Amino acid sequence: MKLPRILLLVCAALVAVVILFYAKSSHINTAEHERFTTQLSRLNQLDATLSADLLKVRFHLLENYDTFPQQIEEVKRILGDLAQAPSFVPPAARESIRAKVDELVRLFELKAELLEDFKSQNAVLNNSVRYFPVVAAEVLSTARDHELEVHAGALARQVLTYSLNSNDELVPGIRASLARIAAAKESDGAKGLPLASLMAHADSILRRQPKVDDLARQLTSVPTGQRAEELHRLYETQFALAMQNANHQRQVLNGLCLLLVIGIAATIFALDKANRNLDRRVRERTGDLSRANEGLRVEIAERRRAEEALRTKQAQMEALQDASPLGMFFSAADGTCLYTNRTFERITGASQEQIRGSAWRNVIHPDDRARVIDEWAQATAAGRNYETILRYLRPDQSVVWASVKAAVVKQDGVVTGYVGTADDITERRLAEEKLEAAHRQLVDASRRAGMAEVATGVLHNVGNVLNSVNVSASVIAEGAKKSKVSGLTKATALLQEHAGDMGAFLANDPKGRKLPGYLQQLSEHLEEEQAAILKEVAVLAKNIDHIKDIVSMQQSYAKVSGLVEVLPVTELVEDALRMNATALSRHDVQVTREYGDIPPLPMDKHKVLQILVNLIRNAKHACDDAGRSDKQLIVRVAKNGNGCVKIAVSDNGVGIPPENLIRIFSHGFTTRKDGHGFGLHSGALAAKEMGGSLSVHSDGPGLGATFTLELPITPQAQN
Amino acid sequence: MFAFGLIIALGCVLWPESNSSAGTQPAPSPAATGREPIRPLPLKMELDARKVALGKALFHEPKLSRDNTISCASCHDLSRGGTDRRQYSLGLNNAEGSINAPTVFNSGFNFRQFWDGRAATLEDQIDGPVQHPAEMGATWADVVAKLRDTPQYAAAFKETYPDGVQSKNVKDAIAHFERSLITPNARFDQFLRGEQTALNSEEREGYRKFKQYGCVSCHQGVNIGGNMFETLGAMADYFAERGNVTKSDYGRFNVTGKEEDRFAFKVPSLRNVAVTAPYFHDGSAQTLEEAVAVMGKYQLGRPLSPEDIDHIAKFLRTLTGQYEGKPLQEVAR
Repeated sequence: MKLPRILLLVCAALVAVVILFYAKSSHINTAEHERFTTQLSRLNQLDATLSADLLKVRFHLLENYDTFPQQIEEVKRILGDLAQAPSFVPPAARESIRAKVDELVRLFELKAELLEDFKSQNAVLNNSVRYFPVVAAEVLSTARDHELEVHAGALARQVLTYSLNSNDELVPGIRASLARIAAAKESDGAKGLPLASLMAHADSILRRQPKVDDLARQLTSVPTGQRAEELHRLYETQFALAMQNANHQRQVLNGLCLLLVIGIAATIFALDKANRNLDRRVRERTGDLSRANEGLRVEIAERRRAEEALRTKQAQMEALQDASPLGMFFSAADGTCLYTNRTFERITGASQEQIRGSAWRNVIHPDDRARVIDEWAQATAAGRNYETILRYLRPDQSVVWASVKAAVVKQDGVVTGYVGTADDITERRLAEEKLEAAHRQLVDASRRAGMAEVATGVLHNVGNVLNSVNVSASVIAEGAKKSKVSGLTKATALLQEHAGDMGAFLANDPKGRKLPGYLQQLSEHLEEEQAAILKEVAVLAKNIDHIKDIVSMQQSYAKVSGLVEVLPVTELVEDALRMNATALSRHDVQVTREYGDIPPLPMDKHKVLQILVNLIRNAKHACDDAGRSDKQLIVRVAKNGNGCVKIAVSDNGVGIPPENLIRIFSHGFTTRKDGHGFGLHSGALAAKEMGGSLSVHSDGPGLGATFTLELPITPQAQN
Repeated sequence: MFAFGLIIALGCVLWPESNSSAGTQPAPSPAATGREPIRPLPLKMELDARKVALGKALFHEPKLSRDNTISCASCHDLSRGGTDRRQYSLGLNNAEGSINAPTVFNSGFNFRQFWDGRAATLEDQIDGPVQHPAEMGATWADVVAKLRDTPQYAAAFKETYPDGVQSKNVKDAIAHFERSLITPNARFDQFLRGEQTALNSEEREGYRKFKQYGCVSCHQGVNIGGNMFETLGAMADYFAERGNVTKSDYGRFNVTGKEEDRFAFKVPSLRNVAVTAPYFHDGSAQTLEEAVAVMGKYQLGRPLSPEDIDHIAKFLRTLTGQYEGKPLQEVAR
């Protein structure tokens, strides 16, 4: 930008020089020049017309004087105009022009004066010239004196000739004629008057014509034309000078302007260059700006969107607040209500006016009012959140339950107010009540279900035992049916018959003789019978004991506390096997025992026993269902690595499909037609209760299954 | 842009002659080419109607006189041929003047005003009667003050002249009105325009004699006079025979002081001469015939025959024109 600035300065300087030079130079105002020269030529024209009209008048070519006053007036006006020389004329020259114009004014004044004189004289001359022929004719027509007639005729000719050419040579002749007429007139009194008139007019013509001619000469010789010409030359000289001056100035100005144009061109080029530079930068900047603008626009759009979103949100919020199922309110720090939404109004059945300020107290149910007011006062005083359940009493006397929560709004640590919600929990409460009832029913149902479960378990277990009891009872009954006791009765009856001859009978009678042996045999039989029955009764008693245990165990379930005894595991396993012994033996299931060295464990005997009985029975069933001949059942008892005792019952039965593995412990799951789906379920529960677990493994259908009961070596504290 | 403008501007400055405009040549004055020495009046004057209207009101305005009794129209009664038909006019307090009031009709065609031609224009002429002690006896200051106090004049002047009521504007308005007082369409003008039947034979004979006897030497032009001075008594001494010579009788001499101008007067217009009796500056002739006789006697130098006088007078009566379309009222004979 440095170069253009210098150029601009140079240009400015040049412009200043041009302006100064121009201001100093003289300006040729063409309009002024035009005016001046036009007026000058008009003056010459008028002067010429005036002279021409003058001659026309003199020779009767023009017979009125109307043109002269007009011409004189116009000349005066033009001279007044010409007194003001054009402004480009230098002062000195202006003065000489003015002097020349003044001279012309004087000359035209003289001319006007002479003109008036001319008009007056010419009028009188004309008067005579017009009338002279009339009076001459009159004289001649009435002349009686021949001499007078001749003289008068001569005079008429002479005067008319003179009037036409003003020849001075004619004057003496006229004078002579006049003298002759005057002499003759004395003798002719009758013609006195016309003759006198003739003579008077001849004399008038004679006297005035030279005067008029002289005046005309004077008029035409007034040097107005010369002066006007001088004025013209003077002005032309000045004009030429001014033009020359202007030419010089113009040349200088041309030079200056050329410089200026060069300077301007240079400036333009420089500016153009700078401009292009600027343009480029502007473009760049524009780019930046447009980018920024674009960014800004995007930002604005986003902001607008955000604002719109905000507005929408606000509207939504308001709508939400109104639509909210929650009644909302804002309170001042002192607890006076500032705002409530429509839901709040809906809940309380009161209008905003009936809620805001301290009016909210009145909508609270009288039973809750004092409490809530008191609590709210305490909460606001302490600046705490507040939460309560209260009732509102609507204007229609209906009661609304509400859960009201008010949260402190803090700004810079100062409590500025509260935001609160009121949840209409009337329906919820009803629902809760219903739910509670349902729950209760459920609980009852589940209790019943539990009882059923328990009962099932009990019955199941008792049923299992009862089987054995039944078997024992059958055995006993059969034994009793086949008892030889009746032989004894017959023997006793025989003895009764032969009570008198007992001896004889015993000795003689074949029957009697055989009787002692018979009795021997009978007693032996009866002893055998007794032994068998006693044995069976022992089993029976044991089974009945088991039933008793089951029942008492069930009682302990109900008490949630089991009797924990330290028992050898294997003994328990054996008990379980024994309890299933009849079934196992009946179905030819080969039982294999693989007992590790396991110390006695504290455990709930019945629970474990029950689990094991179940597992063994299941195994037996699985083997049965598989329909195979080599039914095998393996019971392993071993320590696990993680402080547990593992009791595994494996069979080579039907096996379990994988999909059933996970549901196998569910209540009611069974694959047997007469199954309850309870055994494994209660077993798993019982194992859990004891801090252990019951798990299953099967490689699939037909591949057998292994159920494993794990029990902790140190029992867990039971809840 | 700046550079281009500058170059243009400089061009205008440096080559001014290229910018010259052709000046309009003023139209040449109409050449009097007709062979008749008398020309008809124009039928119409192009004048500013507002100035004419204002001038008309002022012309009839007595406030232009000192005591509000006399207006221009007092002596130049338009219903009496623009004169008062008195020998001498009456001024303030009925003071009688010393000269006959000429008609105001066609006064715009006179080359000078007053009998002695002391006023070059109608405007200048107004100064005379307004300020003359024996005529309206007013001062312009008074007149202007009175007009300014008259609302309608104040308003009318404001409307017509930017500087309102001023003596020059009063004169301008009155002069405009006076220039409007033309009486075209005289029978003689109709004759001049080619209607031979506009004049009867006697009148035509009168015109012939008017020319032949030289009357037309002075009474020529559009106004049939009014464009030159002439001595009253060119061929005979009028004043010697009339006697009782007053200063007013000196005529043009009172203006120029030149001896040859003594008894010289502006040749009066003969238009409407039949309705502007009495005649001459001294109001001495009561009838046209009388006036024609006086003219014959002193300007021609011999008494005219009654027949000549009759013919000429008959011709003169054809010079009565129309003002606003109506012929001027003739003097009852």
